[in-house]
Amino acid sequence: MPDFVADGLLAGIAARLSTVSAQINALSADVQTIEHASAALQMQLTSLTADFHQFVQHDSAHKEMAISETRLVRVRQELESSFGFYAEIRRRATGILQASDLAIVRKETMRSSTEEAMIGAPGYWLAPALVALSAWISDKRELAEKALLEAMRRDDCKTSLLMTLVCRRLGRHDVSRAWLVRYFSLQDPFALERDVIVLVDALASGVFGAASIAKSLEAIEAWLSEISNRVGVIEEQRSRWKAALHGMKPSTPPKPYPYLEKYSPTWPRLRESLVGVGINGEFGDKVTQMFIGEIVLAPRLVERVDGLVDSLVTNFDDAELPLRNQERRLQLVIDAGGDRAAADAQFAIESQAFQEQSSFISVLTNAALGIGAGNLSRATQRLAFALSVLWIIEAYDDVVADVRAKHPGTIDLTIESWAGVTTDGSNEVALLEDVESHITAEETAEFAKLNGIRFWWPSIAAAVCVVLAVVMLPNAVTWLVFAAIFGGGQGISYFMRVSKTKRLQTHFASRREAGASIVKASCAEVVDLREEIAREDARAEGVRATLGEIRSGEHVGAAAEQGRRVVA
Amino acid sequence: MPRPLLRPPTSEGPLAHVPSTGPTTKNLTGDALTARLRLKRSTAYMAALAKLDAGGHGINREAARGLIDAIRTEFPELTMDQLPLGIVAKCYLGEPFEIHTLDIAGGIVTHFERGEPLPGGLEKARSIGANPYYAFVEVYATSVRAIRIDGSVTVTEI
Repeated sequence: MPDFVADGLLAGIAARLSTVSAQINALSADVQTIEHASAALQMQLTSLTADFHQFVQHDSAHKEMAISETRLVRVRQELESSFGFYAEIRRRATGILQASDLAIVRKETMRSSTEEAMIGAPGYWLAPALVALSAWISDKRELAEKALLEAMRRDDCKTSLLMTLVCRRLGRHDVSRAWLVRYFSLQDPFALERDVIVLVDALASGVFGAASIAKSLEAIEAWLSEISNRVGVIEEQRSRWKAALHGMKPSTPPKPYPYLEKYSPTWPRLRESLVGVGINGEFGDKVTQMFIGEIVLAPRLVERVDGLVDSLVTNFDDAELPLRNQERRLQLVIDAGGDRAAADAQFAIESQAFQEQSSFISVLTNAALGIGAGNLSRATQRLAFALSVLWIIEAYDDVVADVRAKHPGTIDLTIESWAGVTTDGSNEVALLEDVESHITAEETAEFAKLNGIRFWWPSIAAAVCVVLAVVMLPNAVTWLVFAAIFGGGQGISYFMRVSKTKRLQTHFASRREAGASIVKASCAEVVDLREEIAREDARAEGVRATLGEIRSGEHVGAAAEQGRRVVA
Repeated sequence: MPRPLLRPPTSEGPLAHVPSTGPTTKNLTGDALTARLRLKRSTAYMAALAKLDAGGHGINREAARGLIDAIRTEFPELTMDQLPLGIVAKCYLGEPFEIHTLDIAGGIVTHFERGEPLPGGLEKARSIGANPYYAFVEVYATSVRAIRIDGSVTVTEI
């Protein structure tokens, strides 16, 4: 075969090899493009899934809100239709007292109005109490006593408390105290009516005289002592406070820790610690808000008593309780934006406020948490909180200890196949060395694998074919074609190897760089996180010290008759 | 039958000299037991347990027995199975030590380095035991009671 033919053939083979190499490079680039597109698609799919879940939650919450709003309207209509006539009678309670002060309503009008109420509200305790009041004002002793006996038969506790307040308003101190003593004698500290909070309110707002204050404090002390001696009652209230304190946990950590969230398997526990220590700030702020600042009371005693009478006659009727219970549940769902689980958790804390009878400390817990009937004054909330402070401290201590017990001692880090552990981020250098050596080991293994599958037989075969072409000249073209095929195969293998080697080098260099930067960022976040947890955890001691300084005696309104009063 | 403690006490063990349930002991259970364990710890008990770290590495079995006696004296009405499994406290020997424990059944005080696992159910008290706001932690089967410096008790159900 002429030389120029062989040269031409070899040149053609070289050109083809060059084309094949270019095509392999293009294919490699295409593969990378597909990898990127696949990763982007995966991210979009993840985002879409998250959006879909969010939409489902939002839709469900929206429907829950709409249903609750409709039901709330229905419950309120039922309250109005079933108990609406009570409202009119209730308004007359303070109306009669104020009309009597001003002496601008005829006594006959008062009498006929209250007697009408008596006929319109059978079984309701307030109706005969108002008849008694108007008869008293009209100086009709016999009728007053008869009506009073009927009111006491219907609801002795409320009547006694109402008369305590009314007599106090009229300046009949001894009679007021006698009614108060009667009220206390009717009470079982383990099964008190909800209206006992009016008594606490009266104490906090300085309505009572010195003798009545002393009597009330003595009774309260005896109740608390009796309750403390019965196993289980305090524990129950402590549990309620613990649930309420856990409810103050922020839903998300105040500051993001993206690297730990992504690269630390310990993140769920770290997150729990972060939101757990958040309770300290939340509760501390609530306590500060409750106790800092002055409380301005109504300047005149009669206004304060009228407020209490209004509260007593309006907020504590047991017949309304089931509907009030439903009303509150629905309102909580609306307040929580349709999140029924959150509403149920809140109602679990408040549910005791909707029981007909409960222990005195349960009443105090309700008041201190600001839940239950009526709008309690801040002075009442302060006094209730101060009276409960011993078991609030215990509950708070338990919650703080619970959070502390769950702080992870060590923090795991995982970057792909590498895993490391840090306590406070101080071993960053060691971790960097470890991640570097781990990636180097993987790189070495990968190159060893690549080199292990290296083969040279196509080159040998090509060489043999060339030799055979020289030896057997008549068939030289055939052998040269074989040599070209084997040589081409070896060439393709070579270019593929070179391409893969480059890709691996780039891959491991990028992993090394990414690994180092992730370790550095994670260690920095560990330092910040530990500082944040330590700082927020230390606030617990401050809150505890504040709680330890609260004394109930300082929040009892002093007995004063006239003028503007301030409870500090 | 009392629940076995960490290790069954032998006749030579630290609890061998301690009578288990005397005839005058009133058994407490349920809420009554919980309420009893919530009571503030006595000054004598706090002072005795403060010695847990005082002997450094060299606290001996005799001293450990003294600590166990203090625990029994503090809780005369508790039966053996109601006593703590062990005591965990922050170790002030310095790095690398983090925690020391008193194994009540074995009568041994052991110091543990950071990351070294605590034996016999005491690990659950590690985080709170290392917290400087508590003098020590009593570890029970189902709860951990961290005792503040003033003897007040906090309860964590674990």
